[in-house]
Amino acid sequence: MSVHAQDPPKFELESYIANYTGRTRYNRLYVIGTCSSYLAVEALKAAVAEAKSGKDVIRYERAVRALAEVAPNDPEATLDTHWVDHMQKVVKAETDRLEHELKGYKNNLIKESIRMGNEDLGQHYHLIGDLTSASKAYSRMRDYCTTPTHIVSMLFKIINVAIERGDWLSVQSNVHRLRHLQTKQDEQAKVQPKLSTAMGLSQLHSGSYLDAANSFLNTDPGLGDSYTEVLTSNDVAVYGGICALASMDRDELQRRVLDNNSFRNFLELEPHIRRAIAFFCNSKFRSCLEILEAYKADYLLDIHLQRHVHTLFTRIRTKSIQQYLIPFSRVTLDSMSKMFAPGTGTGTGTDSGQQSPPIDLTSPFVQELIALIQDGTLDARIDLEHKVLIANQVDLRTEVQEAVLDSLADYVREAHIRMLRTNIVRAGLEVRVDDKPREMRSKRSDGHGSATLSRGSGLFQ
Amino acid sequence: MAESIQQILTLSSELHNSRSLSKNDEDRHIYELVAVLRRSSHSILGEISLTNLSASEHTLPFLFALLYQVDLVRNRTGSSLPNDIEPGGWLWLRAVQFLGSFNGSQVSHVGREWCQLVQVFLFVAENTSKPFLAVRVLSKAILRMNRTQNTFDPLHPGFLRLCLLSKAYRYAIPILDRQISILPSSSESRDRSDYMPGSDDHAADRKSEATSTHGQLTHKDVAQYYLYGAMIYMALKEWDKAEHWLIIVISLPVANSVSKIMVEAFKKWVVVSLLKHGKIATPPRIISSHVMKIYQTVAKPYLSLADAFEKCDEQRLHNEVKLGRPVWRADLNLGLVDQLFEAYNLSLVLKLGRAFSALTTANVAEKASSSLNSAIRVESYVASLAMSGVLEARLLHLRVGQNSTMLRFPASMRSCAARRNGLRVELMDRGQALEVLSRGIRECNTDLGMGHESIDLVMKRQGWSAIMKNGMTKVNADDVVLGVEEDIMGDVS
Repeated sequence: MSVHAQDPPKFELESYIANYTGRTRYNRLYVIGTCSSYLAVEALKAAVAEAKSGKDVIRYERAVRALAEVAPNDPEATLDTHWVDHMQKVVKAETDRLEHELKGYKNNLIKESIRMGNEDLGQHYHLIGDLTSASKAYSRMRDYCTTPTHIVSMLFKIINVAIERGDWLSVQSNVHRLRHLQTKQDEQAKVQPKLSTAMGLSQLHSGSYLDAANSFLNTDPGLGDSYTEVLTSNDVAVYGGICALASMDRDELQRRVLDNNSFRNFLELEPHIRRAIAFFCNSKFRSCLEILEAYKADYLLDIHLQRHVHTLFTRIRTKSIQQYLIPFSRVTLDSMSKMFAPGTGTGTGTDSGQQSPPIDLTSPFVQELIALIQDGTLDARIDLEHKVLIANQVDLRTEVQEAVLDSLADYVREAHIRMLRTNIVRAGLEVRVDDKPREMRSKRSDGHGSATLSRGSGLFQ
Repeated sequence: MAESIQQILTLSSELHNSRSLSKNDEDRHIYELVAVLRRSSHSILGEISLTNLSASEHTLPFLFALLYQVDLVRNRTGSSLPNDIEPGGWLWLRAVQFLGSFNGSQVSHVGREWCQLVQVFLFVAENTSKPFLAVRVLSKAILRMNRTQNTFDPLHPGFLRLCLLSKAYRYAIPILDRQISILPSSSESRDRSDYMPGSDDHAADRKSEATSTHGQLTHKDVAQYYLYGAMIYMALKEWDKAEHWLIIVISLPVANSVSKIMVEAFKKWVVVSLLKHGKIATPPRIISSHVMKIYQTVAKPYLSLADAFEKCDEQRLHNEVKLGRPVWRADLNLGLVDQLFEAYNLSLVLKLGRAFSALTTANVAEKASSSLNSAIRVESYVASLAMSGVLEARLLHLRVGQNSTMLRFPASMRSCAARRNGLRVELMDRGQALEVLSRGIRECNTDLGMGHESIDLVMKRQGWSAIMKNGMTKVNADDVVLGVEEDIMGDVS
C-alpha cells in the first residue's frame, strides 16, 4: 500500500478499535499497522491477537508476516504452526459438516432449512475469510427466502461481504434492491441509515464525492452503534464532512451541513469537522486547512478514507484559493501565501515580510498557483514585478464575438470537407484497393511518355 | 484540300467575329468546327501553318495543328523529348503562344485535346528540369480555362507538382484559393443527359466530351492535389490552410483501404498541428475509427514526437527528433520537424503569457529551452516576436547596467477601434467563404437532385403509390373472398 503516515495520530488505538466489531477490527488494525510508523508494532500485535481469536488462518499469517517485518525480535512475530494446523483441520471439518448438512436439507426440500443451511455456510465462509464463497452462499439464499425480513437480512449480509471485498458495484446494486423492497415503515426506518452509509462508502470509493456527501448527509442519526461491523457514527461525520467540504460551495455547506439538524448529531461527535466547515463558511480558510492538516494522520490511517485523503485535501485547498480570490481583482502573493502556505518563505512571518517579499518563481506556492492557472482552475495571472495575482478581466462582448467567428470558421471548414466528401463519393473516387484505378493510371500515363504517340495516332485517324 | 483548310479557317473566323451569337448558336458552331477538325486527315492539319495563325483568333485549329506537330516531331525523332519541344524549341514557343492567348470558352469544348497539350507541356518542363518556365504560363492558362468554375481538373495536381519543383508557390495561390467542390464523373453526366429528354444533342455531347478526360480521374489525383496544395501552404507557412487541406486528405472517403498519400498527409498533419496549435488538434469526427487506428499504427514516431512536445519535455523532444532523423528524412519531413524547436519556444512563451502578467526575462530563461538559456537571448527572442506581432508583450529595462529585463504581457494592447476593425475584416472574410460554400452546396444540391439515385427514388415513390393502389384493390378482393367463405361456412352450419 502506498499510503504512509509518519506523524502520530490523535486517537488512542485501543479506544479507537473498541468502537468496531467483527472482521473490520482486524482489517483496520492491519491497515494502521502497515501504514503508520508510529503505531505499527502496537497495531500489528493487536491484529495478530485479533486474528488468533478467529478462524481465518490466512489473516493470521499475514499479520505475523507484517509484524516480523516491523519487529523481527518480537515473540509474537513467529508463526504459531501448532495453532495454524489445528485451525486448518477445524475449519476443514466445519466446512465439510455444513456442506453435508446443506445437502441433506436440499434432499428434504424444506425451504427454510435450505435457507438456513446456506446462511450458516455463508457465515462460516465469511469467518474463515473465503469471501467469494461466502458471497455465493448468501446469494443462493435468495430462492429460499419466504419473508421480506429474510430478504433484508440476506441482502445486508451480501452488502457486508461486498464492502469487505471492495466490490463497490455489488454494494450499490444491492442497496438499490433493498431500497425498492416493500417493507414495513418501521423496518424501513431501521434499515435506512445502514443503507445510506453503505451507499456513501461505495460512492466515496468510486470518486463521486458529492454523491457520497449527500448519502452521508442523509443518514439518519438513529444509526448509533448498529453498524459497527462496518463503520461508526464518528466515521459518518468525518466522511460526510470532508466529502461535503471538497464538493460543495459555501452556501450549500451552510445550508445542507451546518444547518442540517439530523447531521448535526453526527457532527457533535467530531467537533473539529464542524469547526473546519464553519471556518470555511466564514472564509477563514487558513484555520480550516490547519484543522484538516492536524487530523490528516488520522485520516490517512482510516481504511476507507486513506486513499482519498490526498485528492480530497487538494480539492478543498483549491476551492479555498478560488473562494479567497473571488472578491479581489488583484491580491498580493504575500498575503495569499500567509493564508495558504504558512511556514514557506521568510516573508511569511507575522509583520516583517511587508517590504521584502521573498516570493519568486521557484517558491512552491507560486508553482502551485501556476499549475492551477494552467489547468484553468484559476482565471488569473501572476505579476512577478509587483508580486500580485491579477484576476483576468473578461470582456464578454469581445469574447462572444471571437467565439462566433471561431464557430463560423469551424462550420465553413467542416461543411467544405463534407461537401467535398459527398462529391467524391458521387464521382466514385473513394480510396479502394482495386485493379481498376491501376488500369486507368496506366492509360493515363500518356503525357509522360511515348504512349502519347499511339494515342495521338488514334486521335487523328 | 486547300478548300478544307479554308473551310476550317472560315468557320473559326466566323466564330471569333460573331459576338452577337446566342449561347446555343455559338455552341453549335464550335461543335461543327470540332467535328470538322476531328474528321480532318493528317495532311490537312499538317498544312496549317502555326507561324501565321493567331492563337486567339483560331484557337481550335491552332490547338489541333499544334498537337499534330508534336506527334509528328516525336514520331520522326523517335524520342519523347525532341529538341523542338524542349524549352526554346519552336514548338515550345508555339505552345507558350497558344497558352498565353487561347479562347477559353472554345477550348472548354475540347477537354481531351487540352489535357493532352498541357500534359505534354508538364512532361517537358519536368523532364528538362525547367519547371519554372512552365509555371507562370500554365497558371494563367488554367485560370483562363475555367474562370468561373470550381471543378476539379486532372491537370491540377501536375501543375501544383511543378510549382513545388520550381518553388514558385505564389503562382499556385490563385488556383488553390478557389474552393473546389465539383468532381466530375463521366457516368453522372451520361445519366443526366439520359434523364433530360428536352436537352439538345449538342449540349449532351459537349458535356460528355468535356468530361471524357475526367473519366480517367482516380482517387490518387484528388489526394495528390490536396496534398500538394497543403505542401505549398506549408512552404508559405500558412499553417491554417495547410492544416485544412491536410485534413481533407486524411478524411477522404475510403471503401476498403487507406492510401499511402493519406498516411503521408497524416504524418504531415501531426507536425503542422503542433506548429500551429502547440498540440495535436482533435482529428475530425468524419474519419472512421478503423482509419484512425491505421494512421496511429503507421505514424508512431510522429505521435511520440508530438507527445514529447505536448508535455513540454525538452530533453525528450531533442531525443525524439534525433532518433527519428532517418524517418523524417525518408518521409521528406525533415524541414518541417526542424521547425518544431522554434514552435516549442513560441508555445512556451505563449503559455507563460497565459499564466503571468509580468516576469523577468531571467525567469523565462529558467523555464525556457536550452536555446533560450540566458536573459539576453530571451530578450532578443521576445523582442522579435513582439515586433512581428505574434506576441502581445512589452519589455522594460529595469535599471541601467543590469541584465535583467521585465517582460510584461498586458491584457490587450490593441485599442478598441483596432480590435473592432480586425473583427470586421475577419467577419467579411468568413462571410465570403460562407458565400462560396453556399454556392457550392446549391450546385451540389441540384446535381444530387438530378442524379441517378435521386431520380430512381422519385420513380420508386411514384411506383409506390401505384403499388399502394394495387394493394388496396387486393385487400378488397380478399374481403370479397372472405365474405364468400363466411357464407359458405354459414351454409354448412
